[in-house]
Amino acid sequence: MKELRNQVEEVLSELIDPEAGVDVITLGLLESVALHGTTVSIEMVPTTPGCPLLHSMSEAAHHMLAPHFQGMTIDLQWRLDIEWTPDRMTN
Amino acid sequence: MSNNVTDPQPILFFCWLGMGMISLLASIAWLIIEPGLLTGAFMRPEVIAWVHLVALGWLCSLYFAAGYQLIPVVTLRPLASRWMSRIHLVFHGIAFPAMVIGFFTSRYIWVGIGGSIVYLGFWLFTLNSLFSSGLNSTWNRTSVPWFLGLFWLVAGGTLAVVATFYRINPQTQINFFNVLGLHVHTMLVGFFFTILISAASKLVPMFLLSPEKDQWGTWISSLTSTLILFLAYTFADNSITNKLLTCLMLIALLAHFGQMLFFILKKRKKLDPGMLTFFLANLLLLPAWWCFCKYHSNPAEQEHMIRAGVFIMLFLVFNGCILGMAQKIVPFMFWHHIYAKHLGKAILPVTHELLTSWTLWPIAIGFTLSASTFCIALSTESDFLFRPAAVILLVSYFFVVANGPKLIRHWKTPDIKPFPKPQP
Repeated sequence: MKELRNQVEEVLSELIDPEAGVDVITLGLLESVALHGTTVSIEMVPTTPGCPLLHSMSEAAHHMLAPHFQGMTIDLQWRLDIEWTPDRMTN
Repeated sequence: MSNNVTDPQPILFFCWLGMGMISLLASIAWLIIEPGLLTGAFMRPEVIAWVHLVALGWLCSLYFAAGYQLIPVVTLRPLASRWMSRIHLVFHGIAFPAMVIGFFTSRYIWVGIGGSIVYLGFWLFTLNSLFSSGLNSTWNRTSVPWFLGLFWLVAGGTLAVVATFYRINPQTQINFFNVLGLHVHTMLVGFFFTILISAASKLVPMFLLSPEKDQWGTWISSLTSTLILFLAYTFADNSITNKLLTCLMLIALLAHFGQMLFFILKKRKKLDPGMLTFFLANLLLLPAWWCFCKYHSNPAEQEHMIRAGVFIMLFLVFNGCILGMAQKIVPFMFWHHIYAKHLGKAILPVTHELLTSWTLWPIAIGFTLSASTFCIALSTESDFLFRPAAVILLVSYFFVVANGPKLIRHWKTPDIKPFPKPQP
C-alpha cells in the first residue's frame, strides 16, 4: 500500500496549486490512498472548503494519474470535513 | 462528491463591476473638483449624495458583483434564482442614480422612489443568498457574519426608507435624527464591518496559507458588533449607552485585529504588497472608531467627527481592502478562466505571474500616501490637502488598471508549456 501511495505522490507532485505556487503533495492535500479491487481510492483535503479550484484539481489529478494506473478506476474524493492546516505542509 | 457547481454570469458580473467603476471614478473626480465636500457641515445635500454614490454605487455594486459569483462557489450549489439576480441589477442600476441625483438636488420624492427600489433589490439579494445556501448550510465563522451582514443591510435599508418618508411627509411621528443615526451605524457597523469580517475570515487564511480554524477573533468581533446594534436599537436616546457602545466597538475591533495578527503569525506565505495594503486599510478602522468616539462625546460640537469617521471607514478602509484584495482575486479569476482547463496537462503560470510586478508596490505606497494625506486633511480641516490625496488614490487605481495589458495578453495567447518528456 505504501508503494501505491508513493506512486500517487510522485505523480501528483507535478500538480501545482496556482495560488500557493507549490505542488499539492508539498501542500499536504493528499489524505489517503487505498486500493479496492481495481479502484484506486484517493482522498484529498482542500486548503479551504469553498475553494473554486476543486473541480479543476480533480480533473487534473485524474488526467495525470490515468496513464500510470491503466485498466484501473481512479476515485478521487475531497474530504470537506477535514480542515487543512499549515502543519500538513512538508516544508 | 461533485464540486462542479459554478454558475458564472459574466454579463451580470461585468455590469455590476462597470457600475461600480463608474461610481468610483465619479466619487474621486467629485473630490478633486470640490475638495470642500469633506469640510463644513455633514448634512449638506452634496455630501449625502457623495456618501451614497460611494456606498451604493461603488461598494455595494462590488459586493453584489462578488456575491453573485461567489455564492455558488462557496455553497457548492447553483444560484437559487437567476432572474432575481437580473431584476436586482436592473433595480439597482436605475434606482441608485435617481437616489443620488435626488439627494444632490434635494428632491426627496426621487430619493423615496429610488431608495424604495434599491431597498427591494436588497431583499432580492438577501433572499437569493438564503435560498442558495439551502437555509441549512454550515453555520461557520464565514457564513454567520455574512448572514448577519445581510440582516443589517435589510435593517439599515428599512431605516433609510423610514427616514426618507419622514423628509417627504414631516408630519410622520418619528424621531428623524435617531432613525438617521441608527441607519448610519447599522450600515457601517452592521453591514460593512460585518461583511469585512466575513471576507477576511475566508480570504486572508486562503491567501496567506494560515489555519482557517481557531477563529475566536472573528466570532467575538461579529457577535460584538451585533450586540452593539441590538443595544443601539434598544437605547437609541441614552447617552450613557453611547460610551458603552464605543467600548464594545473597541472590543470588536481589537478582536478583529487579533484575528488578523493570528493569521499573519501562522502564515506560510510571505506578505506581499496586496496583503499589506489590506492589513493597513484594516488598521484605519481605529482612527474611524476614534472619530465616532469624539462625536458621541459631544455631538453638538464634534459634528465634523462623524463626517471624518464615515469618510475613513467608507472610503479609505474599503478602498484599501479592495486595492489589496484586487491583486489576489483579479489574477485568480483570469487564471481560472484561461488556465483551469489545462491544469495537470501542461506547465502553467501561477496566479501572481499574471500581474505586472512593478505596479504592485506603487499601489501599496500610493494608498498609504493617499490615506495619510486624507487623515491629515481631515484632522486639520484643510481643503488644500484633499485634492492631492484624491489624485494619489486615483493614481493608485491607475496602477491597478496598468495590469490590464498583461492580463489581456495571457487571455489572448495563454502561456502553456508542455511537460518535459520523461528520460528513458
